[in-house]
Amino acid sequence: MAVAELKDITKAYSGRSILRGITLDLQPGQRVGLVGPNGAGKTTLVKILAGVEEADAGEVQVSQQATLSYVSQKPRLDPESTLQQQVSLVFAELHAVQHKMEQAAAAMAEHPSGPLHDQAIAEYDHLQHHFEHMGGWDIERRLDVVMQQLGFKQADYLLPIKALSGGQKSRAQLAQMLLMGPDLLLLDEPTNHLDLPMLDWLEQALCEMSDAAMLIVSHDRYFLDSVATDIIEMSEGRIEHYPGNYSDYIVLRAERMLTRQRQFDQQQAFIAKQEEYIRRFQAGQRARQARGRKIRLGRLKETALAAEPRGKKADIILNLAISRHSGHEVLKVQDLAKSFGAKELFRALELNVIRGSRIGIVGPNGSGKSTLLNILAGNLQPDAGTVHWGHAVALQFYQQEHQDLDLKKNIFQELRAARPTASEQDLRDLAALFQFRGDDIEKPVGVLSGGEKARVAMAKLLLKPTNTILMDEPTNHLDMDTCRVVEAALDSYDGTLILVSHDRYFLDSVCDQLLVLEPGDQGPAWRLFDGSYSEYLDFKRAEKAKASAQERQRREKDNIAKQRGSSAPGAVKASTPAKPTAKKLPLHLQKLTLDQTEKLVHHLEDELKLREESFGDAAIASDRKRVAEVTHQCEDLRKKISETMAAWEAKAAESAR
Amino acid sequence: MAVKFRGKRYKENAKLVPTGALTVEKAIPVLKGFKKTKFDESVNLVVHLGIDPKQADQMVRGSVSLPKGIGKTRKVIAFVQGANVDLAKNAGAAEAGAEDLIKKVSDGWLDFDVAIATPDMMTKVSRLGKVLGPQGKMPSPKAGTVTADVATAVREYIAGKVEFRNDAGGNIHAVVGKASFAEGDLAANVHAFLETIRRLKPPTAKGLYIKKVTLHSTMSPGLQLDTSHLDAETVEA
Repeated sequence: MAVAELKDITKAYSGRSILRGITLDLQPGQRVGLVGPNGAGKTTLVKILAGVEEADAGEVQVSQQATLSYVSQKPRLDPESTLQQQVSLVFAELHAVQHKMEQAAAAMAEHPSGPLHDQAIAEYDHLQHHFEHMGGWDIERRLDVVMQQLGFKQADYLLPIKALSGGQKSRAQLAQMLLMGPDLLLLDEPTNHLDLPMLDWLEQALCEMSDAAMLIVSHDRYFLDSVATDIIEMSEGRIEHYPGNYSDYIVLRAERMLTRQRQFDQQQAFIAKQEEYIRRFQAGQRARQARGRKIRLGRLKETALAAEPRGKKADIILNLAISRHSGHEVLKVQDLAKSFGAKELFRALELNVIRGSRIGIVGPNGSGKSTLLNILAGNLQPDAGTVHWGHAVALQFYQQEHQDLDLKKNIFQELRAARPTASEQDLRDLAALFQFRGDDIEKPVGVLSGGEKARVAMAKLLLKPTNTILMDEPTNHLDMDTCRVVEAALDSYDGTLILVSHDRYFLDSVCDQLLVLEPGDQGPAWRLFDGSYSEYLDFKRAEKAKASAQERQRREKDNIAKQRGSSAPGAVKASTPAKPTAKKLPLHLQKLTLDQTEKLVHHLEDELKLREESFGDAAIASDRKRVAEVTHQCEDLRKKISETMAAWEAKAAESAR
Repeated sequence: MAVKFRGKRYKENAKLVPTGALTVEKAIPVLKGFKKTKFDESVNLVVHLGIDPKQADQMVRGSVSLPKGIGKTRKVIAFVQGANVDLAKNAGAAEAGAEDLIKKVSDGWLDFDVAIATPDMMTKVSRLGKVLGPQGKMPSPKAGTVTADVATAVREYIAGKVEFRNDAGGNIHAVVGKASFAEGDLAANVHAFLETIRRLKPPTAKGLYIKKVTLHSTMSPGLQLDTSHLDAETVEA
């Protein structure tokens, strides 16, 4: 049974039709990626499903039992309240029940006997029942676990929302979503502002929610590739369904487009042939046949005329202008350091950039990527070190906030200001590549949405003659078509490029070198990596696997050393060696008698029970490190118990013989 | 999925399990005829109920004093004040008190099986929710652990009163005795427990209520019990 259904939904803003008869259903376990150009109505559709906006016509049905979670593009959080307060809002119902329980308990104490007492006890019993059923006793532990997974520390809990970065706010919304454990999940651009490790985590978390139905608006192709089970393309107010992930969608879409183009061409050829026949014979001997054909053609045009395939992309031709080549050495950074208060972002940073380099700066949220770009651009001063730009460097800086846009001018005027020598047709062609067609170009910049402003800023940047570009999150808010335009433009760009991005696909296609900023407990570190982002991820995985293999080897060595130590004469009381019972048993178990093995099982079970009980200990429950430690100990004990039980069984079987 | 390891004794015992469901009186001799371990195994009953565990009004929870006990004593504490402190202690409570005991528990002391409280203490005891709740030790009126008659409750729980509640899969697990019990004693306990479960059928539960009952000892295979008579009674009820 579908979790949610939309039937024939229509919606218009100021007479402009956004949704035209959308019909869609979401099944449990379906993770649908919603793609399409900016302004296609993706967010509107999600809002209608979430109940935030109303459709002009049509029907929205969401299963009554389903819990719904909507993660909006702009986090809807109260800036004055703390992080913990905001995330705990998902437990509002439980807190209300708890409050009522306290009131019922007070009433029990107030009326020691009589009907009021009985009523209070019944009320308390009912509330406690409901509270336990909803997992009320467990909310603090669940909150801790989710916040830890999302990279928040205990110290962050009391920070006001207004003090959080964009990435942290997105993570707070995701925490709410995870704690709610919804059946229907509506995510609008969930990857915006998230750093790369968090993206990996989010992908995994969404895939693990196997029973939930999801509708995800995203422009992140890697993300959709990993998460989506279906793709729905939205264009001109209509949707088209494609089974599979984003890569499947690209292939399938190309096939469908080709088929439609062929059908369209064949039909056009048929129509042309019929029209020619009608023209030639309408007044002659075959006038009757010609009239018949004219009627049939009229019917065909009315009922079965194939539309020209939409979504046919114009070939992207955009060559970035190079003012004049810079010198061979473009940038030299020496011993650069920057801190904000007690937080050290980077130190002793060295960077030599030569002409034509394409460097991507990556690192987690708050690691200082944007700060570094601002220092390079001269907008910020470093605490130590020098930044030296080379000979004839013409620098352009694309910032997240687009401060260089004049809100009073229209799009065309803005583009003209960037390159006064360009012809009107060239500027219109460029605007069309950035999805501004026809009258759109006359719109004032001030009325544009965030995504549209980003497109204007990007188009302006690509127009200005330059030989070195700094870019901060260039793909944020850009739809995939615009991203492709930018990628193609940068691909053919001869100059030097230094950019910050969390878009893995974009990084892979544009950069061939990475500057990785790594904050750590021992202070910040950095490294230069020659290769694409995918290669870097492979390298990191290999590094991690190597480290864990070394750790395993070290533990094994320690265990062997311990076993040798424990088998030394007099080391253990129960060292009377028993006849080895089973060859496959671990050495330390082979040496125990049946009774000793049994005692060991009991001892281990007691230990396990103690550890499990300690989860309820307030001191442990409030300390995440200790919770993780005890969990690890419990797992170890369970393994030991099953191993010892197997040994006991083997020994018992042998003694029975 | 990992294959579950089964010991030789278990496999031998599994061969003795008759096919089909057994009455309680037939199942207990089979259980006692299994090859023994070296300790006195507990005998457990697992009841699979036809309820929707996601619905709060279909939760089955309660307590029952089994006629023959469960073969072990339990450590009981009581959150009480005034004269009830002595009453609880005289009844056998390991600890009894108010603020001091609450502080001790909130500091991490959890070496007890059951916590009992008088209604007037529940405002204070509710502070221990996050400690006692996850362990299932939070006093509750339905389980009979929130009561004005503390002495009786303490005595009953020490003697082996069994508290139960359904899990997320709609199953109830409970200890109904020891393998060393006489056959008649075990049968009496099983009948008493099933009768209690039968009586607690939520009004909103639809269809067959007691779907499957399995009896087993700590390390033995399970024996499926015949529930046809329970079902008939349930329908009548």
